[in-house]
Amino acid sequence: MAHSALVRACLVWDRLTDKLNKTKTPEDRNFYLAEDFQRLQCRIEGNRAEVTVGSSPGHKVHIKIEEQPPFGTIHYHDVDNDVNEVMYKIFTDIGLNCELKRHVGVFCEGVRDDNVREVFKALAMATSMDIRISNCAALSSLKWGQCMQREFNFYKHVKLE
Amino acid sequence: MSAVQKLEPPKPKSVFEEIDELMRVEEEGRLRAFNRDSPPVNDFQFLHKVYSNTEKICSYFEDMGFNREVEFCRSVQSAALDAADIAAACSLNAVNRGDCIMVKERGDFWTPEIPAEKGTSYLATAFYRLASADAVSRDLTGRRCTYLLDEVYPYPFSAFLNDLTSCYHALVDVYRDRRVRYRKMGKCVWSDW
Repeated sequence: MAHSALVRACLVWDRLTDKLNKTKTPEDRNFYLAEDFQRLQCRIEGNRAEVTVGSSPGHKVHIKIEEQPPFGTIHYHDVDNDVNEVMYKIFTDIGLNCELKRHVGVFCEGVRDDNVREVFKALAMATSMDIRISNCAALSSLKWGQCMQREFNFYKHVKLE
Repeated sequence: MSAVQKLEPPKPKSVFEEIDELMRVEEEGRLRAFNRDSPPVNDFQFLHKVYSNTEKICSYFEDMGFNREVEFCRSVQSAALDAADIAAACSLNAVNRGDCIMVKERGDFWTPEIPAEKGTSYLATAFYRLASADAVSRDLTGRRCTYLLDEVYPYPFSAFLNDLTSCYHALVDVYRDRRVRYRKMGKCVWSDW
């Protein structure tokens, strides 16, 4: 039976991604690329979830929730290093214990009932992040590093219902 | 006084009613396969019925994001569709199901010419689609879904019908399992078991 905290967190992610899909960036671009949004999906079996966060093959996240230390894990797979850096910062901010592997992804421990909603909120940011960073650097006065920081700031300020 | 008729929308079918309906096609397939000493009259229409039934199943799997199940479903569906022309040709030429050869020897890519219709062969794609279905069935259910495929040569249309029907049965079983076990809300799919 699907873990209830995972189901609740997934439904929060579902509503948040729908909301962000209707949002524009400061560069007046869609928050998500259409082809990325269309591929979004979360599948939960027992205490594990697999979340597809983009249209690139393999752009998936595997989450396991556990009640006992060292608690559950998150395996965020992505070949984009800038996105991996931002996601590493976000997951660490949530309180997870993480390792960043360049061109591979971010791998964390510490997923529990009481932080899994924040984890799914973070995943809503991962979708199309590479494009937002590129557009920001190309179309605004911000430097690349500042654009990456802006993604982290988006995460901190976006509200879960 | 004018009579006002209130039209009730049709009651949605339960999963089990739906499965029951899908399985009636399987029964028809078995009967047709058993009659190997008759030409495949109306088998063309039957294969199209299999195609449209499986479309509902494939669409469900796609909507739920069950990729491997989609692969299984599309293989069975394509096998049915690809065999329809062969069924029509054998029926037109009054060739019995047991004599309507789809593949003569292992590795053949073309059907042999149908007796009485010289000069016409078909690509044996139906055979290879069913072989794909077999491979995916092994992954999903732990066993192949065909019995005679790649075991019997020459491989006649009656054997194909039997194998297709078996794979269709396996597909409906997988569909029933997923329909009963999984729920979907928005982009979230989860198992209730």
